[in-house]
Amino acid sequence: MKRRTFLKSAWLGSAASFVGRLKAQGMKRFTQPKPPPIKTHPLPNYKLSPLGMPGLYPGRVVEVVDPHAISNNHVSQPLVRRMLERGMQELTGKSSVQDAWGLFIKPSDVVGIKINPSGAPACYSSPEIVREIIRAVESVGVPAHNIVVYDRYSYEVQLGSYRAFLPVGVRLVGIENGAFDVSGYDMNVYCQADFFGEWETRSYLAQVVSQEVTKIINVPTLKDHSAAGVTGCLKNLGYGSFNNVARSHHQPITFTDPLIGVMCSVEPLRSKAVLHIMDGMREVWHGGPLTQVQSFIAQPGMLILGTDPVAVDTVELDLITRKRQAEGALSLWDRNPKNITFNSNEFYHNSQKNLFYRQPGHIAAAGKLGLGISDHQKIDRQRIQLGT
Amino acid sequence: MNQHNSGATEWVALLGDSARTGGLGLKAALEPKGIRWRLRLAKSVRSAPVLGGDLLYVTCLDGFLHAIDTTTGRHAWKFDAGAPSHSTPSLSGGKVLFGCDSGRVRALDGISGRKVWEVAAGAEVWASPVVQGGKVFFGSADGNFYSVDLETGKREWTRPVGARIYSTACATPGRVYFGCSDKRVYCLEPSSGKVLWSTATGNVVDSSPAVAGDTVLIGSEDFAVYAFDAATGSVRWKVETGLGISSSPAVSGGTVFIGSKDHFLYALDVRTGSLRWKVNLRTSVTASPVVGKGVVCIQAGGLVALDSSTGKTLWRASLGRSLQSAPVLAGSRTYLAGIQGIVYALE
Repeated sequence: MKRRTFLKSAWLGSAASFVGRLKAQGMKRFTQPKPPPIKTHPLPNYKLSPLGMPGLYPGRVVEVVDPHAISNNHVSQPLVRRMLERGMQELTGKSSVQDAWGLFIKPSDVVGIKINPSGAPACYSSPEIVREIIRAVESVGVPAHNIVVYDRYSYEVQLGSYRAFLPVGVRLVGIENGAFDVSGYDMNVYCQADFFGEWETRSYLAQVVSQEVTKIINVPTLKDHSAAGVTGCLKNLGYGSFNNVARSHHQPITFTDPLIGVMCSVEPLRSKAVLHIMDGMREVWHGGPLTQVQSFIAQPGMLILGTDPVAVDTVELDLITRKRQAEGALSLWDRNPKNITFNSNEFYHNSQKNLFYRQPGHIAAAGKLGLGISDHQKIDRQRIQLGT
Repeated sequence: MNQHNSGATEWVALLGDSARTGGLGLKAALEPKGIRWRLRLAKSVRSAPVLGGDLLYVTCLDGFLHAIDTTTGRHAWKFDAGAPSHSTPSLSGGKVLFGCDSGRVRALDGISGRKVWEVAAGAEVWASPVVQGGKVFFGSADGNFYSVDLETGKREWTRPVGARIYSTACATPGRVYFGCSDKRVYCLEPSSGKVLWSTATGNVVDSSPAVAGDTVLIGSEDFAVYAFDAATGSVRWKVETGLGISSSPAVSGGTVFIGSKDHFLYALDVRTGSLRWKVNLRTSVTASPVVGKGVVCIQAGGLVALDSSTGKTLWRASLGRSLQSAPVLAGSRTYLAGIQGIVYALE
């Protein structure tokens, strides 16, 4: 069934004709329409935790690089362990790795690990990193049965073969087992907005987030995104914990700015997300989030850590922007109608094309909601080089 | 050949034999002219159907085992397992066996759907229970491998391995082989569960083994296809692909067929591992191939039938997108299911 089936009316007529009109009018630059108001309904009486976003270290971002950590797509778990330990020490200033983790996780916590399996198997949250995070969480006294690795789509989780990579006892949750499956969502926590005349205007928060876990460790990937510009901490957390989010895009327009940030600001998601560990073993610089085209996927062997998702995503945006410039790809901010294609296959193979007028401004918008710092001048960016 | 394959109309298990011909032998996979019937289930299917007489058995994430009349495409009966199932059923001695995500493994009467027995593992059982010598073998995500009596369900022995098992075992009269998340491939003694050998690969083993003569074949998430000496576990050869392997091999005529997440289906020489052909199916290949007469079929995107000697595409059907399912080739009929939760009979 096509997306348009869900629209009550043709908001813009056909999207292709919309772009055609822009071109015919000689418009050289697209102007983003004003987004509709978004109403939020958080969990009642939930108070912001001091660990909640932007967390203990607003504006601090630690990049740990070891080019040997990945070779021909093989990720080295021992090297990942060393990178993660160095990164946690640098982020927290603690000499003991266990003490560093203890700032975020208590033995009584139920810990959710939010992975990003979309893009599997070419680029997804590396199981080797997830295993090392589990090892660290267990080291502070959390039993395996109180660790939950989750994402929205059981299909993508299965494709990533996470089940086989997890220690015995750790739970793996794919919230949706098929289209229209809302059984895993909390009807009391939602964001509501009418973007394009869709029938269902609410997006509900996953029950595993609202009712089960007490802390979330977010493990996004270093990846561009056809609509949001990049998909990092904020996008992985917001669009991967609420349902019915694809309705915010209708080619070539997307309202990922401001919906991503708004979703991340909703309690209890905001308070529970205490740590962000971005998987930069691979770097998708074009075709994200689903590309399988290896020529658009570099392998820098990087982890990016922080408690401030806005600051981490700002660094990610900088890295992807530089990489795209080096490769001669379109700017993530490109607004030229002639560069829009409605052929996704063309987009996946041509870095001079866009499916949407991308909205990397969603990161700064989240900063304005108090989720973190997007000003480069105020970001404390540390880089640790290993393995040279 | 599995000793319990009882007739020409039974496709008894994912690993009914190494070629996955079930009890049917190498049947032709004729290009279907259309859909004979379809049945929509409530949720996604993540397992393979099996055929016993006039009934097709399908497990589903809706928590039911569905027994479908192959003549009409309607339910003969369905059994409420109380939890989603990713386990491909198997048939033996008039029983249908399957596991589910609650850890329970059940034996039902294949005709009536009445429960005969059930046993409980400590975590989900995604593997297909396999039968050999009156014993049922299966692994669980609780880190144990189990043997139970086919008639009573009484537990014979439990072999702890300490890591999750999703691999469906391959059982021969003297050996049981399976892969494990501790990166190893195991060979156990069927009567006692004693470890005869275990050999490490470079990453977790989600794939299910096939046995060709004295060679055990299996894929690993370390990107490689392995051939082990069935008696000793020593590595005979290892062939690297481009990404991880969760597909399970099928063997026929000295060739092993296996998919990789790198989008290719590989045909390798069983004896040497040399490449006979490989075909880009333009999607991750995680399902298991099935061998018919001169044909190898696999659900990758949709159903694809390839010439088994050349890899040339013979026909395609844009149905049955699948992660782990495999079609049942029954001569003029082909049965398949997929992630959309629709079961098809093609003719």
